[in-house]
Parts: sequence; structure tokens; C-alpha cells
Amino acid sequence: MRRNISKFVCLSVALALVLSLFTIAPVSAATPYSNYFMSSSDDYSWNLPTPEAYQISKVIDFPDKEHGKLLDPEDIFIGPDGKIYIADTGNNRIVILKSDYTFDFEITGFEEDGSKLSKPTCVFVDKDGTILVADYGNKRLVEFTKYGNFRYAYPTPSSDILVDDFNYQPQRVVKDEKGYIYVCSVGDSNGILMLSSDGEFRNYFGTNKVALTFWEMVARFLWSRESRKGTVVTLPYTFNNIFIHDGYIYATTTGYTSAQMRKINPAGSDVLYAGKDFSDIGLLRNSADLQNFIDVTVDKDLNTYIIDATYGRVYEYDEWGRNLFAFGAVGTGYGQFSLPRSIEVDENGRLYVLNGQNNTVYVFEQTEFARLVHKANKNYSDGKYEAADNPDDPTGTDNAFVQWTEVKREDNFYVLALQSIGQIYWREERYSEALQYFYDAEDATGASTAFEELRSDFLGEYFSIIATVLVVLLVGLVVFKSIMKRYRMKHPKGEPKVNFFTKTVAFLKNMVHISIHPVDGFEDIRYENKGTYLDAVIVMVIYIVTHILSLYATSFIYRNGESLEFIDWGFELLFCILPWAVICTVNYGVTTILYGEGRFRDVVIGGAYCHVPFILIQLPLAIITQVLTLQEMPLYNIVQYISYAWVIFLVFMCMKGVHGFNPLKALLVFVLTAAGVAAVVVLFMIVRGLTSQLIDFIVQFAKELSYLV
Amino acid sequence: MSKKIKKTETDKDAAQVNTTIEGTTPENAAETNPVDKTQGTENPEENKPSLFSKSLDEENVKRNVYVDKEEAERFLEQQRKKKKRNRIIATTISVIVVLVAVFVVYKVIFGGNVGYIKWLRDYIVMNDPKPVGAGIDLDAGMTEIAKVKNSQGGETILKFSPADQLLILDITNAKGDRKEIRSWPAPLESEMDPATKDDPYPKYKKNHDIISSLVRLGWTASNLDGGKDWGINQNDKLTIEYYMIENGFKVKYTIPVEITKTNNMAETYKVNYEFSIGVEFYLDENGDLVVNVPKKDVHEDKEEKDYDNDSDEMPRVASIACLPFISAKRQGDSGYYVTPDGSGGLTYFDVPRISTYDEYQKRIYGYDDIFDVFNYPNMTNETISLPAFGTIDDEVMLTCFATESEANASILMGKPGTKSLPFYYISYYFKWREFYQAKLSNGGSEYTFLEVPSGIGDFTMKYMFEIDSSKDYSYVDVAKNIRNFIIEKWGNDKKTLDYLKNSEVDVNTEENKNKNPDVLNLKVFVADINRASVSIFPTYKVMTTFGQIKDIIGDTKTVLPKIRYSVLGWQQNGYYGNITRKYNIGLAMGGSGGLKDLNSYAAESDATVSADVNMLILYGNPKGASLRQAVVKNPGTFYVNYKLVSTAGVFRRDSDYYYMSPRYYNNKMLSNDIKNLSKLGFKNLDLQQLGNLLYTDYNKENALLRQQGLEYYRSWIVKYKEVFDTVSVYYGYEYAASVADNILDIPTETSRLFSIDESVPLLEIVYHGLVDYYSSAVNRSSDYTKTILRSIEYGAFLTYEVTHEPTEELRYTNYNSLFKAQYGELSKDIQKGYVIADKVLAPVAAAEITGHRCVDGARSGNVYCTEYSNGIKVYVNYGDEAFETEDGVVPALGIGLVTNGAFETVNVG
Repeated sequence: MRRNISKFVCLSVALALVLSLFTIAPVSAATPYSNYFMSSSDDYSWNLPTPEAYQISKVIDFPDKEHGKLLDPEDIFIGPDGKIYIADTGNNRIVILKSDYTFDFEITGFEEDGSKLSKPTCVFVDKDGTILVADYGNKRLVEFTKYGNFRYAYPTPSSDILVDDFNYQPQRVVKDEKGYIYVCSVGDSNGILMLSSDGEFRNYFGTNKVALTFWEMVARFLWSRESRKGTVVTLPYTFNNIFIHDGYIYATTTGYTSAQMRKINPAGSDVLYAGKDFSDIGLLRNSADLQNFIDVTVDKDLNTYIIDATYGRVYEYDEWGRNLFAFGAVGTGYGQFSLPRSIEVDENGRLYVLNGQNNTVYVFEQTEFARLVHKANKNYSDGKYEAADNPDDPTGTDNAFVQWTEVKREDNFYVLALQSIGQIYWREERYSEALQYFYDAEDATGASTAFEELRSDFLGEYFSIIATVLVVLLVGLVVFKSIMKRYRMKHPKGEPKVNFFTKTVAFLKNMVHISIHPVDGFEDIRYENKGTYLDAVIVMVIYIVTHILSLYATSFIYRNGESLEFIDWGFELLFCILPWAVICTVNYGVTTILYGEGRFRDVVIGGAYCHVPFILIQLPLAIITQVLTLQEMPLYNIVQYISYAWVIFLVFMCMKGVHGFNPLKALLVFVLTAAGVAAVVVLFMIVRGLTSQLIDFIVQFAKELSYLV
Repeated sequence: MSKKIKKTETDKDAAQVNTTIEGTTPENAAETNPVDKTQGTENPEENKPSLFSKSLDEENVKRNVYVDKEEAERFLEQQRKKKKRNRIIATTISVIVVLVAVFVVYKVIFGGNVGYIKWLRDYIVMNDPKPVGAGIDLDAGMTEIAKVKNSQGGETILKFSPADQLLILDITNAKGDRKEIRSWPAPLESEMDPATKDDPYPKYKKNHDIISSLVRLGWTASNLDGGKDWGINQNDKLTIEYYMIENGFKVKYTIPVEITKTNNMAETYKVNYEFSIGVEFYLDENGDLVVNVPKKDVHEDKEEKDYDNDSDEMPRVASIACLPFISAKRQGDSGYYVTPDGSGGLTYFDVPRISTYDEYQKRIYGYDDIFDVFNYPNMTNETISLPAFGTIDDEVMLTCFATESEANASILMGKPGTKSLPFYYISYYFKWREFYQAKLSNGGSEYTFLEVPSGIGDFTMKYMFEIDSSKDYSYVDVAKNIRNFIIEKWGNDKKTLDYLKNSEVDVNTEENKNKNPDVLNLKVFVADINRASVSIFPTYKVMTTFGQIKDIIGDTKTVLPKIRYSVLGWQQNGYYGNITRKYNIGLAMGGSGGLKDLNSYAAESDATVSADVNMLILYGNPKGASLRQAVVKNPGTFYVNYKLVSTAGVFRRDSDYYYMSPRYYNNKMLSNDIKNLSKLGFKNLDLQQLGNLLYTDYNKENALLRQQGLEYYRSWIVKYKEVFDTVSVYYGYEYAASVADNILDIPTETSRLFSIDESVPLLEIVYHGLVDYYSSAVNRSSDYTKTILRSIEYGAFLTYEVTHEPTEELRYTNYNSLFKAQYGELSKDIQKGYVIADKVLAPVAAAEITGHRCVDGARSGNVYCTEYSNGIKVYVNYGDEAFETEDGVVPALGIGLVTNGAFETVNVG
């Protein structure tokens, strides 16, 4: 009888809520938030605008009745039946809405059977419709039937593994198909609690790694655990939300570390997103507040949605972790987020965001553009694409190529469309078209694969010709040399003429000679006075020119797709000159103390000659990259390392030769110079900081004075 | 022999400095020095040994050093002169330093604070208050104050009850309809104070002091207390006096304020201040209620009462809202508020509100970036272009105008629950002074301060009530009232007015056809600076050269004759180039020659080519202009930054740009700009900022109030029009629209706020036929079809924005929000848009909008009808299904056009 009365009360409340539920009629305006996507280029993340992807279509609220309003709701969940479940934390209840957003019923629990809810923070519904609630205030989980009848309460788990002062505060809960329950407990840095279907603790799951700072790492390296006792212990960040899909747990962590969102397999390992930093670099470039990802959800196509509470942004990633869309803004306007708490997605791709400040649920509908992108991506992942017209699908409904092309037409910047079209061309062995699209997408990896095929085709077709030409040239060279030799025997050379050309050749020969014979070369600079300041300048100019040319000559693939427009000429110029200037100065200072025999001019000239390996290697290497793919990257790297090693060796030999040191002392000087350079850098940073403060002080003082006067 | 001369004995006394010739002795000196040969023979006087020379001689003889006396004398003379000169210089410098120091000390101690900026008095209205008659007894009941024949053929009686603080307008019309309008709404039974239940005017049991206040006043007791802002009756020490004035009455409020202060000895003491304001309520000759707050009736206690000279710490008035509840409505009432937010917005009284507690408060003519500082870009909001709002109620319509100091007024709107009040309310909110954020020290926290100076004049507003029991008033009627108001305000300055007076004009005659404006605006984007390039060698992306613009004109003009071309980003470094050096046009764009050539070509082709001109935003440092003089400052010490919004929707860090001081522009740049733009051959201009950006300037050199700024803008447009054929402005604030020929990017939406339920074309109804207006670029929207339909519904000519190069090239520029604009790709869309605009909008270009309604529902439906004064009706259908109207079936995503009773359809989707 009592239960019937309760049911009657519930139904009355439900009826009141049905009557009071109202969704504001949307006005069709441009969205009051930014719409963009994050370019996938790793080195220089750019946010590029897109047409609107999601538009707010409804606001679910219960504005009329005082008891009907949500109060500090924490969680939203879309059940398998399409109903919407809201953990209305402030009102100690679970509110269930039908799929048309009208009120269905609520669960508050009852004192009599011990099911009374207290600050429920999460609701989860399994495929049978069983409702599992994180009853935060009562420190337990509670299970209800799909009709809202109390079934079972899972008390605080106990285990030897759990620490004595274990404080169980279940904040989020999900359940997998095998019946295992996964619980996020507030402040528990050990990971997600994994409980058996009867609520017994099994183990911790997917623990986050400890995020140590550099100094903490140094401390750990230098001191034992015993010695570190009493210092602050760094714990892993705790999870703040979990979601389950296809047996994988998706978990979000605060934005103070990378891997803010993880996809964890049943074995507890990260899959796909391991270590990925989900920070919005383009946004953080302009704003200092850290992001805080507070919820994650996954749709039927395995697109993942995460929401950031700091900036009120929703990010959508496809199943390969590529960003499709980002949108949102902080604010109190229509569709803007103020304290977003939870995000969900339904079967139709509608997004539901629980907005904490005004206790509402925003419903976002996909725009045509978003639908097009989703369709294109799905078709592509299903292998439905064809660059040529398909007579079976003349409208291109099931053709990712047609859809991506349409996406590109709508948004010329949309990199994913460019990449995907490139990949389709690649798969259809239309490599030159693929290459062009990869260029446009600034996708070096894609371009490399396409170029590799093109190169292979080219070599396959022209190998015999190329080989023949090479052999002919080689033979021709040998013959030419032999003829020239005979000719010289008959007509010996007279006195060599001295002109600009011969001087230049001699200079270049000497340059190469020093880099190949550094022992003699550097000693000659000091003791034979071979070399002048002008020589040093010429060498450095050649170095700068070759460096800049090599930047231009490096292929798109080896520039990692970076546009040439990004080359900072000022920086490159400094990069060429500054190390030389600093090392020479420091070295001269060090060797003055250590009785080096070299004069400053010797150090400067010798230092300039140390750049010769770069001159000899960089430009040809850059030119060679035009015919290389990423497959040959190790080879490229080896040559680069050789040039660095050669330069370092020359620097060492220069110090030895110019100053007349023995190898041991030269090594000491080398190390001291390196330390000196580091000290100069640190000093520069300090002076720079102080100078800027001084300038700021003067400017502020002047401003204050101008203000007063 | 060495002739090296060296100084010897560089001693304490300059007199001891002598010259010697190395290697000489007294004995051989005569040989070596010809001067010495004459010594003692030619001028005996000169040879007299002085004490000085003697001592030197002796000293030098002792040291075995030869001294050339004459040389020494000459040297000493030089030294003396030098010394004298140095003394004069030092004295002069000292005097200057002392004078500067005295000046600085004087300024610091005795004034010169930025708070004491002297505002210009230009364009500030400050009339004498109306002469007062007899006083009215405080206990008097409802008293008839004035009776005036009104414009509706009836009469309006102004009544007032001092005892109840209740103002009533008793209005009748020619039909005999009668309505009483109260300054505050009667309480419901449940809201009544039981003690007053039987009174003729019962009180509220809660918040009656707030609700019954005729005035909502903002003021501060000191500069740092954050301010008080609520019903004036809440102050229990308030003194009120009432006086009769012509056709009305005047209320004088006096508020005493006691401030506790602390002196230098940390002793507290109390100081008594008081301030007063007078507010006039009277009926004008049309029977409309006028509320006026004369500046001369605002008296603040200026007497020095402070022992430590901290004169900032005294009570000051900040703001006033008069009759805040005269339009108050309850939740569930029928009707709505009409606000000119964006295109216009409606706030229904029967729509339940989302639980937010903030008031809607927006400035007329947009934000003032000097005072309105946002942490994140404000993406929600359109701004207010008209100084008016309206209320629609059962049989009653109110149109309310801000007639004086409107640029310093906001529209304030609350909803039930806001400030714990049970109703919706709307009013103007005038600000004498603004609160602003500033730091006391560089590293310190920000505090809120109230401006010290106040330059604003009288605040005046007019309430026009209309009653008609048989009429169903709507926002269209409000718009018509506003239209009449601004036509009267604009006077005969507007060249189109004469033409428009006859709204029945036949637009199909040859003569009138020529008056049809261009029906499509094609923005052609030239260039923008490349963000990827570094500052040492900045590069810019040229998207369309001037030659290519010629090609586009050539391609379109013959097919689409009524088209205008806006050229954007033509200046040095493109769209975000520095405006102080804008005429050094890059060769990559085509150079100055190319631009002149384009303009000549335009003249030959009879094409309207218009230059988009950035007037006031200084991207980058203002080269060639002093930051101190040229740039707008806030009331603190800082220049006001203009920041771009990044793609991710936050302010960009590296975009600390500035606003130019309008007075600086007026004095230093205006005439040069006119000359230079003319030289380039432009005949038409699209002036940025003048129609959509208004701010106060606290730069001491150029201080300017918003109300004055708009007058400057208006004067510039007039000056430009003297030289150029047409001058257009963006967005369309009323003051700019009054003189401009076209409005570009007119808003076709209202703000996305929970306070506003529906967009309506209020602004468009007001402007249509008075000034030509164009929508924002269709290809910037995500849904072309709906954007075109909206433009057609609102009577806005279409706009497209194009480039010659693929828009991918804009990827790394600030202009990357334009991601589909390549002319080659868009030309068909443009052609289609042109045909629609020409067919539907050209025939109504000069007509007035007489009706606008939702056809398939009471509000927010899919099918809308716009009616024009020449009888043409335009239906638009946003729905996916055709809709049958009284005139015919409007296709899905299409248009129905009724001309002379004939119905035809146009497909858009």
C-alpha cells in the first residue's frame, strides 16, 4: 500500500514535470561558439575553422515547477531503449526522460527498503535496462530495475589489497557485458575499481602513470626511497569519468597531464590513444588556463566525444584518433556552456550536454556538413570508395570519394578530406593525384607512400635506361681521363695562371683540406698564419647560404609537410651565427685561462672552418631528399649524424690545433667550453629576464608619471 | 726636434695647466719659440710679471720647465670662457629641471589626475530644467497633474499620487477606448501587504520600496565601494520633494551619505555628504509622456569636507533608470517586449525561462570596449542599432525612445525571478559614469572604480502609448513608430526621403528603375598578411589582384548589371595592414597603378567599385603616428587593446592592436584619406567601424564621449559624401544610417540569448526604403539556402565574398574563416542569388515594409510573409514541405511572390 502511495506520488510528480517540460524554440542563427578542427600535423598544430558542425536544437529544462528543476545534475546517460537518464544530484534522484524529451519517471528510492538515494552522481543502464546508480552520499552502488524498483545495494567493497584508510566515494560507474562493474572513486589514484557482478572487489584497473616533473625524476634518480621519506609523494592523477563501449573502457583524466583520455582494453592496457595529448594546442597558445576533460562518450561509429569544462569545448575524434570537429564556448548564451558536467550521444548522432550552471541539458543536432563528414568517414572505413564513377551508385551515396570531394568543396581547408581523397587515389594507384592531395593536406607520411610508389614505377620503367646512361657516362669519364692524360703528356701545362677562379678553387680546396686534415689545417692557421678574418667570413657566408638553400631544397616529405612559409629567416640566421660567436668567445676565454696559444683570430677562423662538413653535406643531402621517401629516413639521419659528429670532431681538433694542446687538455678545454656555453645561455636568460623587468619598470614608471602629469 | 705639445702637471688648479715644448730649457727656449724673442721688448705692460705668472714662473723654473706666458694666458682665457659657458648651461638646465620638478609636483599634488579629464561640450545637450511651480504635498492622494489632447484623437491625463509614489497615465482615443497605465503594476492578491489591502492602491508585501520607486539609481558612497544600484525608495534617509511644472511634475530626491574615513594617523572620522537629482515627468504636445533628467539638476556635494584631501572618496551618481516597471508584465501574460537587438528580438511573457538570474542589459550602439572588458570573446551577441524599444500588450502598445544621450544608455530587461521580482520589466538605463577595472599597481589585483568626471548631458526619453481595442498590435507597429521617429530625426538630410515619402511610387517606370540600387554586393578579397611569415620579412597572401578584379567585373557586369563590387584588403599588407601607411600598395596586388587602372575600368564599365576602408583599428603599431596622441586609452593608464579572436574562440595573444582616437583621425587623417582615396580613383567607399563600433576615449589629448564620437562619425560620412558618389557603413547603427547610402552586413538575426525568443526584422522594417542594405556574405554561412531565404524575408540584398585564388591559400592568415570563396566555384551560386534578388527585392527596393508575419503558426514557424507598401508580398518557406497560403503554394525552401495579385514561385534550395 505504502509503495502504491509512493508510486502515485511519483506519477503525480511525473505528470507535473511532463506539463512543465519545455524546450525553447530555436532561432536559426549562426552558432554562438567557434567551430573548428585541429590540424593533425604534429609539429605545428593549427586550428582551422570549419562550417558549423553541430547546432543546438533543444534545451531541456523544467522551468515551471520548483520541484521539477534539476539541481546540480552530474551525469547523463542514454539507455539502450533511447531513454535519457539524468543523475539529478542536488535533488537526490534519477530523472528518466523518454526519447522525445518528455518526462517518464524518477527514482528517488525509499527509506523503508534502504534504497533512498543521497547525492547520486552517476547513472548507468545496461542492455537489459537495469539501472546502476553511484550513490555517492551513501558510499555505495544501487541497482534498480528498468521500472525504477530497488533491486540491490552494493556496499563499500573490502579486500586485503585495499588500503586500511580506503575511502570509498563512488563518483562514476559502468558495467561490462560480463557483469563486471567499474567504479571511479573520488581521490583514488590507484585506478578504476573493478568489482565482480556481486560487488566484490577484484582489482584496480588501468592505473594512470605518475606524472613526474623533471626535478622529481632527478630526485628519484639520485636518492633512494628511504632518503626521500618525508618529501611530498607524487601520485597518479585520478580518473574523473569513465564510459564503456564494446568492452573498452574510455576514461578521462584531468588536463594536468597528457593522455587525458584513454581507451583501455579488458587487460587494462591502452589501445590506440596511448599517451596522446588531447590538449587543444591552438587554444592553449593564446590562453593560460589548463583544460579539464570531464567526460567522454562514444557513438555507434566509434567516434569519440570528449568535453572540456574549462573552455566549454566538445572535441570529436574518429576511430583512428583524428580530430573531426571541435566546437563550443563558455558563456550563458543559447548553446554556450557554463560548467558542463557530462556528455552523451544517441543513435542519431545527437549530442547531449549537461550544463551545470543553469541545470539544463543542451541537445545538439548535426548539421549537413557534419553528416557529410561522418558519412564520408564511415564509408571510407567500410571500404566504400571509388574515385571513378560507379554505375551502381550514380549519386555517390555510398561513395566516400564523392562525399569527401563535397566536403572539400564546402571547406577548402578540411585536411581530413584532402587526406582521405589522397588515400583513395593512392589505393586506386593514382599516385600523382594522391601525391598532390597529400601535399595540400600537408601530410608527409601520405606523400611519402605515394611518392614511393611513383618512384618505384619510374625506376621500374626507366631502370635500364638510367643504368645504361650511368655506365656510358662512367666509361666516357674513364676514356676522357685517359685521353686527357695522353694529351697532357704531349702538351705539358705551363705556369698556372693566377686569377679569381684559381684563387677561389684554391680557397675551396683549402677549406676541404682543413676539414679532412684538421691536424695540419688548424695548426697552420695558428702557426703558419694561414687564414684571415676574410676567410672566416667567406666560409660563414657559404655556410649560411648553403643552410638556407638546403632548407629550400629539402623535400616536402623531409620537411614533415611544413610549409616553406613557416621558415623563420631571422631564427635561421641567428642559428647559423650565434653558436659560432658564442663558442668562439667562450673558448677564447677558457683557453686564455688555461694558457692556450691561440689568438682570438685563430679561434674565430678555426671555428668558421668547423662548419665545412655542414657545407659539404647539408645541401647535397637536402637535394637528395627530393628522391627519398620516409623509408630512407634512417639513412638520411645517419648522414646527418655523421655531419654533426664530423663538426664536433673538427671543433675538438680546432681547439687542440689552434691552442697547441695535447689531446687530454684539448678534451678538458672542450668540456669546459661546453660548460661555458651552457653558462652563457643561462646567464643570457637571466639577464634577459632582468632586462625585460627593468624595461617594464621604466615603461610603467613613465606611464605612471604620464598618468599623473 | 719634436713639436709634440703635451699637458703638464694636470693639477688641481686649471691655472697650473701650461704648455711646454719637449726637450726645451729656459736657455734654449728663445731659439725654439719665436714668440719669446719679442719678450720684454714690444709691450712692457704685457711683460709685467703677474703674481700668477710669477708664481708659475718660479714654480716652473724650480721644476726646470719652460712656460710660454702668452700661450698660457690665452689658454686660461679659453678656460674662463668655457667655465662661464658651462656655468650658464648648468644654470639653465638647473632652472629647467627645477621648473619641471615643480610642475610635476604641482600636478601630482594639486591635480592633473586622469579623472579630471575635461570633456568637450560639443554635441552635449544640457538644457535648463523646467521652471517649477508650487510644491505638491507629500501626503497627497491621486492628483490630476496635466491633461493633453493626444495624437490618437483622445486625451491623455497624467496623474500622480505622492503618497503611493504612483504615476498613472489615463489614455483615451477617438473611439472612446480607455486605458490606465501605471508606473508600477498592481499586486496580485497573494502579493499584497494585508495592511493595505483595502487601500485604493494596495502595496506589495515584499519589495514594495523597490517596485514603487519611480527611479532606479546607481551611485557610490565612495569610489571603491562597488556601488549601489536599486530602487531609490530603498534609501531610508531619502528626502523627496514634488513640484508642479508645465504639463507635469518634478521630483527632487536628496540623499544624505555619511562616510567613515581614516586619516593619516589611522584615526577614523565621519564626513557627511549629500547629493540630489531632479527628474521631470510631463506630457508633450502629442500627449506622450516625456521623462527628463536635466544634468543641471544633478547636484553632488563638491564642498571639500575631507581632511586628508582624498576627494575621490565622496558619493557620486552613476546611473539612472526611470519608470523601471511601467511596462512590467507577469509570467503568462500575453504580449512581448520588442528590443532592437541585432535585427530585432521578441521576448514573450508566456514562455517559461531558463533559470538564469542575470538581467539583459545592452548598450545602445554596441559595446564600449573601454569599459566592457571580456575574458573570452562574446560570441552570443548582436548589438543594438536603434535607440528605441517596444512593448506589446492586450490592446496597448508602447514605443519608447531615448531622445537625448542615447549613446550612454542601455536597454535593461529583467525576467521573473531576477532581483527577486515577480515580473518582466524593461527600461532605459542611462549612465553618467562608468565603472571600470584598473590596477593600483602593476602586479596588483584589479579593482572596480567609478569614473570621476561626467560629461554626459540631459537624459531624455519619450513614452508613446497607443491603445485600440480593435487592433492587434505587433512589432511591425512598433517598427513603424520607430521609423517615423527616425524620419523626423533625420529630417531632410536623407536624399532618399523625398522619394520615399510617396510609397506608392511605381518602381517599374524607367525613371524609377534607375533608382533601383544594385541588388547584389560582391565583395572581392584582395590580400591578407601571412601569419606564418616572420616579422623580419612579412609576406602577404594575394588572393585577387586588381587585374583579376577587372576580369571578375568583366565576367559579371554584362550578365548581372545591378551588382556592386566591394574591394577588401587592398591596402598595404592587405586587410590587416596598418592604416597609417595604407596607401603604399603592394606590387603583388597590382600596385597603385593597378588600382587606378581598376577604377578607370570600373568607370568605363559603369560598375560600382567600392573601397573597403579600415578607419579606426590600428593593426600593428601605428607607424607614423604617436601612440600617445593617436590611440584610445581607458580611464586607467593603459592603451585599449583590440584583440582578434583566434579560430579556437579565444583572444589571440599576439594581437594587441589599438583603436584610433576619433579626434586624432579627425584632425590628422581625415583630409589626407579623402585626398588619397580620391587620387586612387575610388568613387565609392565602404567605411568600416563607423556604423558598428563606438567607444569612449580617455586619451587626454583627444578625450571624447560616445555621444560625441557618433557625431564625429556622422560628420566624416558627410564629408566623404561630398567627394565620393556613395558611402556605405557596416551593420547600421542609426546615427550612421542617417547619412550613409548603404548598410552592409546588416544583422538578420537577434542575439542567441535565453532572454530573447524570436528574431524579427525590426531594424529592416525601420530602414527599408530609407537606406539600402545588404546581408552578410551568403557563402560565409553554413546553409546558403536558409541564408538567402532569410535575406529575402528581411528585404536585404544579397552579398557574396569571393577570391580569385583557391581559399586554401588563406589557411594561415587571419582571414581563414573564409573557406569557400573561389570565384570559379561560386560563380553559378552568385548568378542564382542575383536572379532571386533581382526578381524579388528589386521591385520593392524603394517601398516600405508594411507587414511581416509568421504564416504557419503564431511564432517561430517555417513560412513568413513580408508585405510592402507597393502591394507586393513575399512569402518564404524554410520548411522541407510546400505550404499553401492564401495567395498560393509556397514551395519547400522557396519563395512565393505576389505582384499585383499574381502569384509566382521562386525555388532557392
